[in-house]
Amino acid sequence: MSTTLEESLRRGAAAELDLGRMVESERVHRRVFVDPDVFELEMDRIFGRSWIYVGHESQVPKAGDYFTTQVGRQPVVMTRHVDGTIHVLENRCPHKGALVCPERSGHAKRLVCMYHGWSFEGDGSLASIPVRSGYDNTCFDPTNRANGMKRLPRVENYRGFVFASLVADGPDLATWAGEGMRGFDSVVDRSPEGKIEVIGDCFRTVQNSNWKIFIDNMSDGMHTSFVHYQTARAAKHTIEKFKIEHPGGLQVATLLAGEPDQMAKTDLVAHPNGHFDMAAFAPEPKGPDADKYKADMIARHGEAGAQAILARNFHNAMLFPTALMQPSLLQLRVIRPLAVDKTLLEIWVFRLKGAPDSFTSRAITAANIGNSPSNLVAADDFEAYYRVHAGLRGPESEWVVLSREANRDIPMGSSLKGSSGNSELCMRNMYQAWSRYMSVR
Amino acid sequence: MTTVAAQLRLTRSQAEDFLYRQAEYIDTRDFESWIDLFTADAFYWIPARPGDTDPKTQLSFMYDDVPGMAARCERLLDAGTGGQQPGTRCNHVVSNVCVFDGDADGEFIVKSRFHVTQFRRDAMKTYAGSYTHRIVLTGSGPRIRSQRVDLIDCDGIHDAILQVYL
Repeated sequence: MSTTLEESLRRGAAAELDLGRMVESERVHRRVFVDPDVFELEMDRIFGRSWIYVGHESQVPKAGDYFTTQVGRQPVVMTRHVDGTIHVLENRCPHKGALVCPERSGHAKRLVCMYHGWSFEGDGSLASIPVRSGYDNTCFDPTNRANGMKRLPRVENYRGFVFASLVADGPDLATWAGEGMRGFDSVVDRSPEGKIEVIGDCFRTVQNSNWKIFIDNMSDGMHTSFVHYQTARAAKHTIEKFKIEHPGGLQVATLLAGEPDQMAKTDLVAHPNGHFDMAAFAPEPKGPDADKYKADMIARHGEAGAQAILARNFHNAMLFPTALMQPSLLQLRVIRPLAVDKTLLEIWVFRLKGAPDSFTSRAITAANIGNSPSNLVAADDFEAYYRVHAGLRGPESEWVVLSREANRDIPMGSSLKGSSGNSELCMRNMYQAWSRYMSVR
Repeated sequence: MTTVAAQLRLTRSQAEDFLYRQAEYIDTRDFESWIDLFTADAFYWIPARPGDTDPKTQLSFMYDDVPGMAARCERLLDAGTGGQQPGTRCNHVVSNVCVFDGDADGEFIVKSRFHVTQFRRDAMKTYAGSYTHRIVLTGSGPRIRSQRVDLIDCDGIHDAILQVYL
């Protein structure tokens, strides 16, 4: 009897995981999703090396503002220094290792460690240590400002979006993102002032499933009419029953349950490094506000320029592995894996500066209905993710099948377009990228 | 002109009876009767942060008008809804009820505290916080103009989606 991959994996130690064999052109091994050793390696080889989304610059508008999150396993703090520059620091006192910034966000003239009073500037440099003489004739130099909170090796601010990497080497952000950046560009370009800002704080929800199960769903045109059918039908019934002329959030709920033939018409494009995007299918707003907005856009960009910006809109745009922009809903979902079966999402909503208030209201309503901790759209997605993860825990069958519309992708420069919006192309492309990240020791 | 409502009172025990009835409707999944406790222009609001004041410009867990409530409840009762397989069971305890006069004529503000336990697929989850009901007396009894639900952990991390009204 031949040995299955499952059997050889079961015998192998974590360090010898046969990663190369876990991803095939149309299949992915179940251990990619449920094996804690694979998860630990992902933290090192993907989240420990790649560009990770930290936050938007509008989260720290004034000097002294800070925001805390994590890059892979590393607690970090994004700060606005007195000179206006943004920094991403390890949220760790160089003395005993305590978190320096305890709140999710805040403001401080100097960052002060509560344990022994060490203080730091907004750029991380060491400001002062109480009773400095204690370090005379020791290995530690308390006058060296570089002995402060460590800056992450690479930080880039792309049009307000701050990314960081835990390693010094690798391609710059724009090269790494490539065409995958177009969804992020699209959101900023759609502001009549070319600027966006976050609305308040983010929602934070946890999925009890592997982080990649969530990302797979973001290019999955086939799930919508099954998973969201009941919510969409309830929303339609309600619109009819109450004769609602401007349904807002309920209309969003009906749109997110597209049938396969509708979803097939949606452009799905996979980019190098696992990135991808799906074209928008929600209609553009209409009415006086929309007309004024369009006029403002034309005033800024000219007729053709405005036309080009408005013609390009995405439902989802994924910069693998952490940043999922939803340009048409003005939402950004940030993926922070906590464990092999626990995935934290930060859900941010943006305001297009200079756009009508009704655009912002629409984004808020869509976020409340679609992605809040008591939403009625992703509630059913989360159930699907849970069931996938629970099913994959069983060792007897090994593979997840990603064959839909394989071998008929359409080349577009260095990217690939799905033969329809129902293709599993973006998932296949993502696991090829995953495999490349994971195979570098 | 003095309205009839302005001369009426809502006693604490009447308010308690009303809140208990509302809680019982949810716990028994009688959502239709639950929605009937609201006026046609009512809203139900769970802010996403303590102290939030404006659901039109701030994010919310829920900010449902009556049609929104109807849609949410229809989803809950649809046997095909994935997120309700298995369904959520709820158990409300409502307490610390205080009645205040409202700003509008004939309106009362009822403040209370709740402890709601929900059970779904082998997991228990607790929600704790306060209710602020704006209640108006009508010919068919007290009705809710608005209900604000302040969760003590509204800005925390949530590892289950809250599907059923609190």
